[in-house]
Amino acid sequence: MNLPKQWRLKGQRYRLEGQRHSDGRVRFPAQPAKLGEASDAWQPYQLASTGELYSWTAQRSNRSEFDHEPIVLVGMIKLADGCMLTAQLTDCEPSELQIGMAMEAVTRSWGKVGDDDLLVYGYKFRPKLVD
Amino acid sequence: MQQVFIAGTACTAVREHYDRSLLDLALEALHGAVGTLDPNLIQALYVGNALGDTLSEQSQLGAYIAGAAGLNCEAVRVEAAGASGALALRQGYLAIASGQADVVVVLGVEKATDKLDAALQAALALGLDGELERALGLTLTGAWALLMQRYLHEYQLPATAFAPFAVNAHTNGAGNRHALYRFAINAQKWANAGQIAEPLNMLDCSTVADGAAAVVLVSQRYAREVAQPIAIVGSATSSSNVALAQRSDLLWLEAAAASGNNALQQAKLKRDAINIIELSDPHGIAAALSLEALGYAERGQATQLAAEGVIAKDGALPLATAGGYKARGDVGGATGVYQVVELVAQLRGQAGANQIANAKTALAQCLGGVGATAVTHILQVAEV
Amino acid sequence: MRQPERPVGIVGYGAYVPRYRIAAQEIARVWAAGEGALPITSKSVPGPDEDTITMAIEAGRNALNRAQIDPQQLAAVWVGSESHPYSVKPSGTLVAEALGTSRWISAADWEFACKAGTEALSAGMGLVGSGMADYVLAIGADTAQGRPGDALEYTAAAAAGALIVGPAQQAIATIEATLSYVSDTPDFFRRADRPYPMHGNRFTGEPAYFHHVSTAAKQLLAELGRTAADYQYAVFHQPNVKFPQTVAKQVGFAPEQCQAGLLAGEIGNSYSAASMIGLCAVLDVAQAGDRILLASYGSGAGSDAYSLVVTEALATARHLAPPTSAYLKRRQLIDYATYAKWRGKIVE
Repeated sequence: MNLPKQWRLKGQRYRLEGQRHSDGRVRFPAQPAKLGEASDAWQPYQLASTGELYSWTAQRSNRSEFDHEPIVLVGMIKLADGCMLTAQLTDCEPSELQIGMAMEAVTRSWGKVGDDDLLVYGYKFRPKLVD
Repeated sequence: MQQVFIAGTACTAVREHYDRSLLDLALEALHGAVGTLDPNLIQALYVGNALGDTLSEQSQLGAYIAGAAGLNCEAVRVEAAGASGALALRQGYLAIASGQADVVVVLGVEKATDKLDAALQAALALGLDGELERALGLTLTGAWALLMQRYLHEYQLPATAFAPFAVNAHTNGAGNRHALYRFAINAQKWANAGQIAEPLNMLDCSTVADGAAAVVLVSQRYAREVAQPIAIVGSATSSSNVALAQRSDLLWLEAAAASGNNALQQAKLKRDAINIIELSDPHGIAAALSLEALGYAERGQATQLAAEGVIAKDGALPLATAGGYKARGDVGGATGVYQVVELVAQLRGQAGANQIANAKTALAQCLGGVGATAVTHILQVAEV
Repeated sequence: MRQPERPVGIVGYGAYVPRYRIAAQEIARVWAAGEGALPITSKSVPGPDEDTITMAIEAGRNALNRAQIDPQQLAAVWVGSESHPYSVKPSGTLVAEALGTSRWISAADWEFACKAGTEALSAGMGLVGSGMADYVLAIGADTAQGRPGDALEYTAAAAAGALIVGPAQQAIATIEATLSYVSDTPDFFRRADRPYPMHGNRFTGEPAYFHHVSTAAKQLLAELGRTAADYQYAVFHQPNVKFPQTVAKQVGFAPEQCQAGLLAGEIGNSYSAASMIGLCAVLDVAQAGDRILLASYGSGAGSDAYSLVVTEALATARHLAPPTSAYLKRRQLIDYATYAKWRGKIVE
């Protein structure tokens, strides 16, 4: 049940750990430098936790892990620091969603993996609670 | 560099072939395409297949199918999600163009129905970014839906603007005995369909099913013996970021644009020289963005091409004459070869009920995932 | 009573309540033909992607924001609950990583029924008060379960309350003293292999909740040489609305002193979080100089009592995270079928 991989992904899943380039560009997740880039071109950087809803969809046909929920809401959020992120949307109904609305990151359960039900947690976005 | 020609072609019907295995389908297409050609002349077999590892639990499909076919040649399995078959064609093209081979076979085969739908969804999602998209539950359909939702917002269009793509596909599917769905639909029916992944409704989503298609590629030396050889005058592949969030422009299929441009450049053709086109059109939005990437419409305007009948059989740029992904069926990694089988038939005047007039030059573009891989081939009636 | 050598206080606080609610009437509709007196109006229900850990993380983030300290400065992340997602694997380490703490911390889980969170609070007072550390994050969080049709089902709810203990001079409320009073009392318990707890009906009242809470609270007041009148607010563990109101009276408090910290009517009994988020709600409105008495209760049984004094620092710090009322205000009513599906009560 790929325990090591789940463990390796903690930083990006729990804390939105990405990278920032010296020219200000922000990217997610953290990855090695591209070919032709200096190895230290990108520095560790924690993404902004708020942003605008860029797009969304309500999936009605999902993988078996999501059997119990009739709809899985997924969106793309343009964060305040310019980084784009794809994430499940939570604490909202499709009817509440409008492109451009303020969203914020929360840490929620992503489900279980393996026969022994290792719990996986990660980022999701919800409509901003307080303005 | 040698010129490359298409000789024999064949495809199976696209169906839920529960009673037939991956091998059964592959061999049917191979027999059909190879015909009376001496199999000992075949120097390589390129197998385009996306889902074999997970849904058939079989890897090394190159060797596996070559063995069953009785071939002792180079055998390679090529994978690029939905573009697998088209990419296999590119490999076959390169083998001959390079001078390394004179006769190769390209096969696209997909057996999608041996496991239940949840497993198919999971396998299709492998073409997305595993950690940034698949892990959090995004499906391939959901990914296209994200693009469509944004497109509707940016261009202030209703979802119904995309209906003509599906209507056109079904009209053509009705005339193709190999198609999965052989009935016409209308815009009304489309508008009433239930949501699958908002804003994509059920009639805006293709169904993945089983099938195999094959083409034999030959060099000039053997093309003389072919009744109506079709030349591959342009062949190009390009790729872009898999993850949607890592693309600089969500509504621009960069790989499709680059591969289309490169293929046209190689063929020394302008896009309006193309008489007929095949695209990856599992959804209207996919067709629209592909048309825009190829420059057939300004950004945000592609739905007008559909609305005005430009893509109809009697239009200026017929699209999906065999039914497209929606009606002919989404044959996973095999679709790229199905596209070419249809275009060859059109160029040879053998397309039956869906034959268009004056087909001389054709373009096939096939996408992997949400366009992370794009493969374009340009075919032309040849004088040998 | 116990007072640390080094004065301590709450430097940050944070609450979290899920947005979903089920009306007690709805539960009564299914199990009691819609009849009978109801102990609360509605209770909070955790969404399908929420659990003790996710709620603890958000409450903890809110507390850190109010404390204005770097999470790396925390010496301990202690989560008290009776619904830790794992029986073996502490919630604390996951919460700590999510909050971005240092690895050089203590992160064990705590259990003492509904007072597991305040156990962590008391221990935090010890760690900071002894000079061993500067900051300890104590969290009470639960996604409580009641057997279908049982009285507990009306009230077993979900929430998280987080308190950061630190030096008194940085506190938004100092903790003058604390004491704990316990005995072996089987009023409510759950064996490890059982999904639902046993509830002792009337036995959970006088010999359990009332005895321990009133004893602890009265004793603390006596040792401090004070009466209820010296306090602006009192917060008691709140398994329903009646119990805290009754014990308040027993200890000498008036209803007005208990109102701000009594949330059970709307959100039910959030077990380990209950008294802590009651305190959070009080801290959202209290003024400098106000005294607060906090007395938790955990079945099994025992009560932790604290005497707090609000400082000048609260007025600005409270705005650095959403108020408890923001969580109370957002409510989405669900029906019993949805509730049963989400809470895993539908057997497959």
